[in-house]
Amino acid sequence: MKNLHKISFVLVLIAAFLMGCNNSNKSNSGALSGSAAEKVYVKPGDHDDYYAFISGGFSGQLAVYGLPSGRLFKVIPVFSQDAEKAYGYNEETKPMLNTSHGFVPWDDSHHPDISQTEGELDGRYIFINGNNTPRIAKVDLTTFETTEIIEIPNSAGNHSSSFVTENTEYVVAGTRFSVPVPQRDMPIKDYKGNFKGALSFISVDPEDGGMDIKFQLIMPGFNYDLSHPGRGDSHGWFFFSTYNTEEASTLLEVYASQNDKDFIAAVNWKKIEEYVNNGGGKKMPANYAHNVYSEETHMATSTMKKEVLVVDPTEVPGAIYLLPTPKSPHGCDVDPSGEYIVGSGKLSANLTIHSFSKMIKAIEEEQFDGDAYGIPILAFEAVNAGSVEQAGLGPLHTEFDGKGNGYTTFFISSEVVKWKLGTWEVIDRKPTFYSVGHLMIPGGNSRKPFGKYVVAMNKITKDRYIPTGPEVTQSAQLYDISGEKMELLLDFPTIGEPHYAAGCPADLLAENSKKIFKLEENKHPYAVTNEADTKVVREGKEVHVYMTTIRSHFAPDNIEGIQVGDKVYFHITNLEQDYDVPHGVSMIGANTSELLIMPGQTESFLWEPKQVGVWPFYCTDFCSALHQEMQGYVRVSPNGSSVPLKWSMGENIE
Amino acid sequence: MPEGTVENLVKPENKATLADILKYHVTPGNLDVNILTKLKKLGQANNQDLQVEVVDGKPMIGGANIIGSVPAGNGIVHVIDKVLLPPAKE
Repeated sequence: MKNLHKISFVLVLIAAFLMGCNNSNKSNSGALSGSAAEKVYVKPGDHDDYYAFISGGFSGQLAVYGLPSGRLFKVIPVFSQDAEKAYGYNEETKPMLNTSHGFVPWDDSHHPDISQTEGELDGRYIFINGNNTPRIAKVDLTTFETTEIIEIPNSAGNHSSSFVTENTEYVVAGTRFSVPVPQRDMPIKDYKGNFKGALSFISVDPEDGGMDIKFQLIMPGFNYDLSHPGRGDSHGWFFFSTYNTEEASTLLEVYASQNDKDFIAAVNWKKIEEYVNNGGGKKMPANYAHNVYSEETHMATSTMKKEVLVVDPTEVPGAIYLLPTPKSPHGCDVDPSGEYIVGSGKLSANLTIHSFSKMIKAIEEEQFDGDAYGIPILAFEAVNAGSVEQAGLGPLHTEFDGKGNGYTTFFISSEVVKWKLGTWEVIDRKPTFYSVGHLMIPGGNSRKPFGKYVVAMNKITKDRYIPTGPEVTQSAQLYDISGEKMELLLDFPTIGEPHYAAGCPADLLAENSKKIFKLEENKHPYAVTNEADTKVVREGKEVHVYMTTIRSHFAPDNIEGIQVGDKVYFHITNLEQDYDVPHGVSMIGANTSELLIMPGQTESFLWEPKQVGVWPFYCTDFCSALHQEMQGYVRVSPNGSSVPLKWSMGENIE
Repeated sequence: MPEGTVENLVKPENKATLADILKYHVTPGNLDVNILTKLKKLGQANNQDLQVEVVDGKPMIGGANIIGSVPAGNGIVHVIDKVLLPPAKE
C-alpha cells in the first residue's frame, strides 16, 4: 500500500458545529409518528400541563411557554426595557434598571431557577441572572413580574448563576470573567495571580424573599462557568465548574484549553456561613444597586449599597476543594439524590461524574493532588465515580428524569443522549436541530424532577422554519421521555437566545396567579381611587395629573393650562377590578412608551410638550366596545401664558 | 502506513478504529494557518490531543505539514501530507 503515501488525508477544522457526527439513527420530521401531533395538541380552551420559563438570552427577558403545546404566553421583562409593558419606561419601574454604571436598559439573561423548599420546587419565585452587567433578578410567580434586582459587585460576566440552594437559603452568582478585586488601573498582562473570581451567596429572606449579599468568596482568577447546589446528603455544598485555570487573558480559544483538566470547585457554604456568622470575613467598600419593586406602592426604589462582605477561601480551611475535571467543563449538574456531580468537558467526548460520598471520604483521607492558591485539589481517582465514554461530542449540560437517568446535550454532535446513572451506559440518543445548548426537564434541577418531557434549546436554527432573512429565531425542541427511547414531538420558536430554562407543573402556579390588584390596597403616592378625587396640580414647571381609567373614559379627559416647557407627569390609576381588563395610555409626542396599567394599579409617564396646540391621548389596549371613544385632549399654551390650569370630564372647560 | 493497514481498517469489525482515526483528524473551530501557529495543541473529536509545532514559521500538526487549505461553509479543510494515527489510549 505504498501508494497510500500519495493520498492526502485531510485535517478538518469544523467551525461552530459539526452536524451528524452520530447520525446513524437520525430521523427527519417526516419520519415522526402521527401520535406526536396528538401528544402536543392542547384542545382550544384547555390548559397546558407545565409551565416552561425559558431565558430570553440577549433579549434580556424571560419567556413563559406552555408544555406540551410550546405556546408562548408571556414575555416577562427583566433586564431590558419593554415598551409593550412600559417596563423600564414608566416612572415606577425605571429604578429597576439602575446600576453602579447608571441606567442600563439591557442585559443578557441566562439561567432561570425556581425557588425550592426541601429540595422541591415551591413555585414562589423564579430567579434569573443578567450576564453582562452582573445582576440577579427575582420574579414573583403570583404576578409574573420582576420585583427585585440586585447588582453583584467584584464580578463580570455573571454566568455561573442564578441557582438556588435546597431551601432557597441562597441564590448563587459566580463570575465568568475574573477581574481585579477591587477594580483598579493595571496592565492586562498581569492577570495571572492578580485577578480574582467572586462567588456570591445572596441570601433570600424566607418571609418576603428579599435578597442581600451575605458573602462573596474571593476565588482564584479562573472563569466560573456554571454551578449547581448539592441536595440530600450534599445539601450545604455548592459546585462550580471552572475553565481557564490557565489564567489566560488573550485568545482563550487556545490558551484556556491547554490544561488537560480544569476544576469543579466544591464549596461548603454552610461552613462559610457559620464562619461569617461568627464574625469571619472582611467588609470591603463596594458600590452596587439594589432595586426593589413594591406591589403596594406599585413603585420601585433603587438603593446604592456601599459595602460587601468578602471571604478569603484560605481562611476557612475545609470549606473549599477543587475536583479535577477534564477539558474546560461547562455543565456542573447534580443528580436528584445529590450523590453525583456531572461535569461536561465541552471539548471532550466523555462525561465525567464525581461522587459526593467519595469526595467526603477523599477529604477525610486527605487524598490531595497539590493545591491551587492554597485551595486543596482532590486526587481525580479518589473523587471520580465514572464516566460516560464517547457519549457524543461537546457535552454541555445534563438534567435528570428522577428515574435514574441523565440527559445530556452535545453541542458539536447536535444530540441529546440519555444515559443511566451508576452504570454510565448510553441508553438512547436523538438528534437536535441544531447545535443544542442547554436542556430542561421540569424540576430537573431538584430532588423531584417531572420526567415526562425534555426541552432542548438549540443555538442554530437554519432550515427548521420558513426563512425570515439572515436572522432566524432560536428553536426549541420537545421530546417525550416517558418511555425507554426519547421521541421528538415538536419544534417551537423562542426569543433571544435561550440559555437555561426552568419548568414546573401548571398546578403549582396557576391557583396562586394574581388576577387584579385591590384598589383599597393601592399605596401609590399619586393614586386616586375614585373619579371625584382626580385633579391636576402645578408645582412650578412640574405638573402632576392624577387621572383614572374605567371602561371607557379617562378622568379628567380635557386639560387646559399646560405650557410649553412644562414637565407633565401623568399618574394613571386603573379603577377596574376585573381580571384581564388593563387600560393603556399614550400621549402624542411623549418621549417614552405607552403605559399598560393593570386593574387596581397606578403607573406614571412623563410628557414634556414642545409645541403649542391641542394634543390628544388615548387608550392603547382594546378595553371595551367603546375603546375607540376612550380619548382626551390637552391644550398646550406658550410658556408664560395666562390660560388657567383647569380640567374636566363630561363637561366643557369654560 | 504499513502494508495492509487500509484493507484491515475497512473491515466491518474495525469500524470503531477507523472512526477513531477519522475523528483524530477533526477539531472544533475555524482555525486558519496563521492562528494554528499560536496553538500548542489541538483537542480532537476522538478525545485525544494533537501537538502543534511551528517549523520555519509554519504549523506542523502532529508531525504533518499543511500543503493546502480549503475554506468550507462551516469550517476549513487543511490538506496534510500524512495520516495521523492516534496514540494508544491509556
